[in-house]
Amino acid sequence: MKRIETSRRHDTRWGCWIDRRKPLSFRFEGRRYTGFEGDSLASALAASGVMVFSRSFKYRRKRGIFSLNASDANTLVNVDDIPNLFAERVLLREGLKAHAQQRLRFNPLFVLTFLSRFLPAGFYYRTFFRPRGVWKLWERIFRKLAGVGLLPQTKVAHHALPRFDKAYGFFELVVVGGGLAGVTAATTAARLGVRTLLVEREPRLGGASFAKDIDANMDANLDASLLQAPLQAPLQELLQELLQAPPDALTVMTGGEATGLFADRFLAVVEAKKRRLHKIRAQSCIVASGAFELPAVFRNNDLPGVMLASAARKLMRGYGVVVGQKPVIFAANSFGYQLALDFLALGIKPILLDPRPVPHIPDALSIRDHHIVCANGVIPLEALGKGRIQGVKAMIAGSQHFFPCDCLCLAVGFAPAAELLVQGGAELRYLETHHCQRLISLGEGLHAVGAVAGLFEPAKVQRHAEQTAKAVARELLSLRSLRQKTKTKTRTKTETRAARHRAKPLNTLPAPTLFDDAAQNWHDPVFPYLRGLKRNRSENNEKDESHKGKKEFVDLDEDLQISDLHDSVRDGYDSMQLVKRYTTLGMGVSQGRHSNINGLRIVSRLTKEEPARLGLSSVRPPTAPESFSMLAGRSFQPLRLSPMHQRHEQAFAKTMVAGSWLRPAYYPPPPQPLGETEARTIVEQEVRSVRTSVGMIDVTTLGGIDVYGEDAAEFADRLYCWSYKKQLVGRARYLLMTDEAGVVADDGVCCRFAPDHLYLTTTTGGSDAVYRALLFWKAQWNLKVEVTNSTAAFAGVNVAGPLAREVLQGLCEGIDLSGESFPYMGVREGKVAGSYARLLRVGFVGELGYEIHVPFSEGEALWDALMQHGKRWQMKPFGVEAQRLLRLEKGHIIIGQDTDGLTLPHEAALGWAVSRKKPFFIGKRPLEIQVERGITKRLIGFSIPARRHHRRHHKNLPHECNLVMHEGAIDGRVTSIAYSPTLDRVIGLAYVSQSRKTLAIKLDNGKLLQASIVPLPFYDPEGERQKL
Amino acid sequence: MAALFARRRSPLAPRLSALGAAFVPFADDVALVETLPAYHREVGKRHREHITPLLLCDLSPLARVGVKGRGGESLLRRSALVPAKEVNESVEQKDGALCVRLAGNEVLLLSALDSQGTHDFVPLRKNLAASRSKQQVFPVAYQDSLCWLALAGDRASDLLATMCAVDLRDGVFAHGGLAQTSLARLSALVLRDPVRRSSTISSDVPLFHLLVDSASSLYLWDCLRDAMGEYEGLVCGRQDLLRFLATTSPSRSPSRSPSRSPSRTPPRHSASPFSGTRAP
Repeated sequence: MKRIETSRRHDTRWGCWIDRRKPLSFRFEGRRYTGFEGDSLASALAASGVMVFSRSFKYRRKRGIFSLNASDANTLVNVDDIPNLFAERVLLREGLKAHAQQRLRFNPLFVLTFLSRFLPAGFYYRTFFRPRGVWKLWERIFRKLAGVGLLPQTKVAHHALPRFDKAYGFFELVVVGGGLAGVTAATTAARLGVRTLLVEREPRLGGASFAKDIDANMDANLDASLLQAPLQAPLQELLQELLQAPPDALTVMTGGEATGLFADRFLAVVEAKKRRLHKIRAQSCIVASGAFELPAVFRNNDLPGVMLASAARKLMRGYGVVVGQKPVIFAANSFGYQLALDFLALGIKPILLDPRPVPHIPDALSIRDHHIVCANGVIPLEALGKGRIQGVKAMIAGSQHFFPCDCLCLAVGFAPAAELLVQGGAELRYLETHHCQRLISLGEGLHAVGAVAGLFEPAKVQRHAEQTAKAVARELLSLRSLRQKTKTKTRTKTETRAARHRAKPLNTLPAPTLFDDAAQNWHDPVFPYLRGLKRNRSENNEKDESHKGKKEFVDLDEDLQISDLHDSVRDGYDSMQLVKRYTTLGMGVSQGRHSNINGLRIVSRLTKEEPARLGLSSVRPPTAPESFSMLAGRSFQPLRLSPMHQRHEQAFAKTMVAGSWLRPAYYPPPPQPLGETEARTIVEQEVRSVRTSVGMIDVTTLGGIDVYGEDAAEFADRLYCWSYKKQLVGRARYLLMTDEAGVVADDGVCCRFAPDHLYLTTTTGGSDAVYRALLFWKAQWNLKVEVTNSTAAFAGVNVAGPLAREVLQGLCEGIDLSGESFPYMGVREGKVAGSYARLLRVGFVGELGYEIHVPFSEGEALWDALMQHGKRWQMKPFGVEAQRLLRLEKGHIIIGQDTDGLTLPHEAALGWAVSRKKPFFIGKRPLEIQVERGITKRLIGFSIPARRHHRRHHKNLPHECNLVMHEGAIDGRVTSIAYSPTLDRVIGLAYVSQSRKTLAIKLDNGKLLQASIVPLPFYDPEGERQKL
Repeated sequence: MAALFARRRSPLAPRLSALGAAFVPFADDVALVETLPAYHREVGKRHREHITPLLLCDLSPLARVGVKGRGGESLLRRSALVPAKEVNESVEQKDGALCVRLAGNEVLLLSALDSQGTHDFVPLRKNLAASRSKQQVFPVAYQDSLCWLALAGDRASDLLATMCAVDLRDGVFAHGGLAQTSLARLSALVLRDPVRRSSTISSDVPLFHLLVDSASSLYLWDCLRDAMGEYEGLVCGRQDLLRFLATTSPSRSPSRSPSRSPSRTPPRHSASPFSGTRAP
């Protein structure tokens, strides 16, 4: 493979970010290149003469380095199968493999650039919506055409996936931005003892402050120190101090991007290097995020080689790359002139084109002795070249001139990078005097220093940053001392007043008089207007044939031209918010950083509204692209396991999620994949085992709440529908809870172990909500009760079946299990298998059964003892699926499955559990009103004769939630249904409006199935078996 | 294995068994891991590389008692225990046990780390049984409902910062302070060990007691082990933890703070989730 040597490096001391002693080789689009350690992929490619990095979004035009600030789509590449990475953010490493996101060399879709007339902004959703539903088809095609990167197509093993994490952080002060302003503020605050975090998005500190700028008094031969000093002297000193600062006082995070600022200074900071999302809470925040350079709009302003002056400067000074041998600088401010001197320092003579009609005295003086060609009153018309810039056509004093060049650097103004501040409550306003936005107010605890606050001159920046940091530090230290005082004593009135006074937001914004003239923006960098662009595009084309096929881009990310904004305004979308939606202006990668101001100027011109009145579109987080993996991070999904879970796993149980628990669904034989039919057979075997002999199920997941105190029964009486005051010690009673609207909320059993001790059970999913409700009402009623959540304090096993008593008899100590002394719905305390146990004789599955609750830590030992002891009776565990079938046979409902958020007790056939005599329980009055109005639906049992395919495959059976139909209208729905192996028929529960003999259920295939309505319960209607 | 034969088992026994832990009988039919062979193999390596380990230890078999009710404070005094003055604070008892105040009328007692397990809170249990309803004070089954983990080491608060939104750093979260918070989306009690009068445990090394719902303990254990990967954390037994706390002090831990011992070898891994590039 041909190796391309680096050829565009200059041989000077500039290039402070790279280590020329350490060459690295890498590949881009399959070709091998060489860079240096410290290089970014973008700088290494630029140094190797690569000018085209990508193709544009819509027209597939070639694009190269433009802002070099990770804020435009031109440099998005795919690196080692990770798409959408900014090449300037990818640190070069040996063997790196990068690709462009679309085909670079020959891209057939380039033809779209010639069809642009038919593809105005939003053409797809204005054109492809008819006939109805066709958009689904087109959408797929457009999404494929969009070409915004592909995820890796090969499967990666889970353990080989990179780890992403999140962390919380707490600081008194967070300084965002590590340029001169940020470093000054952070160092000053840390020096005063404030716990400070300095966040810088680049991998190194320094920001845009590379070296002292060349001033007018400089010797024509150029100061040699310019080439040797990589950073400004004051910044170098500060960095030295910063390195010496104790880590407790100052933490520096380079490569960390603050992507959002939320209420109370809560910052989201993405640290890509560590793959970590930091959630940082700061008491105060100083934003020194700098400013974005703005582009100019003229024909073909997207040609590779056209770039912002700041990008050129970064390449030359930071990476030692010569961006061009024949540069043209379009400069409307001092920064462009300084760039010209930078070129001169490398022995390259640039051409300066200045739109200002008369020379700006300080700028003119700065280049006076350097014999640089400079023209004023220049209007750029067009960048020329095929695939890369080869020249600029400009108009000077009414005549057109051509300037050959290999790069065109634009310096027409800046916009503050104030996204974070705006999210925090700061206000930006367009100032006509400065032709740009400026901050006019800040949110609470927020401060702005440096270019974001309108200051560019290093001395002013440093002075203001220092003053701000001192004021903020004073405020934070006084708050800290006040907090320490209030910990030890009650705050006095004076201190409270002082605290209030201090709580007043500090105003640390610089006065507008301090704004630098040097940073003044050119009043209208949309140059086509200056050369007479008409409002009507077709009219304009007729007048200027040379315009054909040329584009004047306002937003490079979205391929938006001036004409698109014209269309928007013409169609009535004339406020900035509407223009944004209509044209997608500012909705690309740059989020309008480079396009919003120019868009505003164009819309202002078209609508004849002042820019300040038009306003700007909202700035929402994230301010920079975040990966989904970063947002997802390490996921926390709490899972609860019973102490017997290990035993279930050893028994090859198939598990299922129930609320926050993992429960055994059924116990298949040793590992072999089971089909649906085989699984059903297993469940039916478990059911038969319980009905004919004995089985055991882990019921640890049921909620348990202990209520102690002399008012315990009164408390339960008010909370639940039935009556509990007269409940005897040693007895259990059904619990039904309704909410304030009288709707069924939960159920369980109330066990009275002592006059002042109730043990309330809840459903598996309802324990936390019921406990919260109990705490709430305890506080409301102020009864003499104490409530504790014992859900995780007890493990539970239900031993059920005709032989349950025989199994348990050998394990119980001090408990007489006979039906006379321990009847149905009785509760006892004693010892089972050596453990303290609470025994509840309840019958959810409709057989003789004992629920044994032992301390959580002894659950596994109990399970082992039962399994061992039960062998004689061939006792086997059964899972949730069998339990659900058993309870259905018995006609017991499951809250949440057979009820919903509107079900009243009387509708769910639970009217018997509602006491009419009690003066009060939660939901009583609404329930009474509903009952008086009349119950409109009832839960009924239905049955269908079982056929062979029902038994074996459950085919052609209704499912839960299938509709019940009556005379063509919806009459209700099925809530539970299953084939009962005990009864050999299909049984189920359904809601219907009124009792009939039969009901018609609509199957999934649309057919109606007739079922007979039968009385509940289906099995053992007299309840003899559970009362054995 | 002792754990398999003990009646009372830590919910974390399966994970500890998988690490090759040897369970030894402890107190009333309980098994406890006193030392882990894997820990000893790794800790020597860490010492050679000047890395202070971050230790995770299961203390669930140790005793803990909950008392709730208006008469709780007087019951504690009658049982020769000193209640913490403020809510979310803890105080050390004579025998090294901790009394943590969870609410105005709710207290949690944690046995001493070096407890032998036989005589923990005996007077309290007796008094509680005797005067339950008369004194308006009732037991809370924290022994079973809460799993007890200890996390020790200079980087403990950094690790917790990856899963807990409370600022638990040195100098911010006081010794003996309690946070009733969410840890890895799980309701948890995070207790910073108070300054000990006992000479066997150094208070200079951050020690956190984490108490969470027993049923979620395996989940939290896995979360902590996963997060500990970054901080070179180790699982240890109770005696390993006690030895570590007795011998480690900040001056012996080179990675604690580079500013305090600038001449020492820098830590191989960053000490904080925030420590970034310190060079421009």
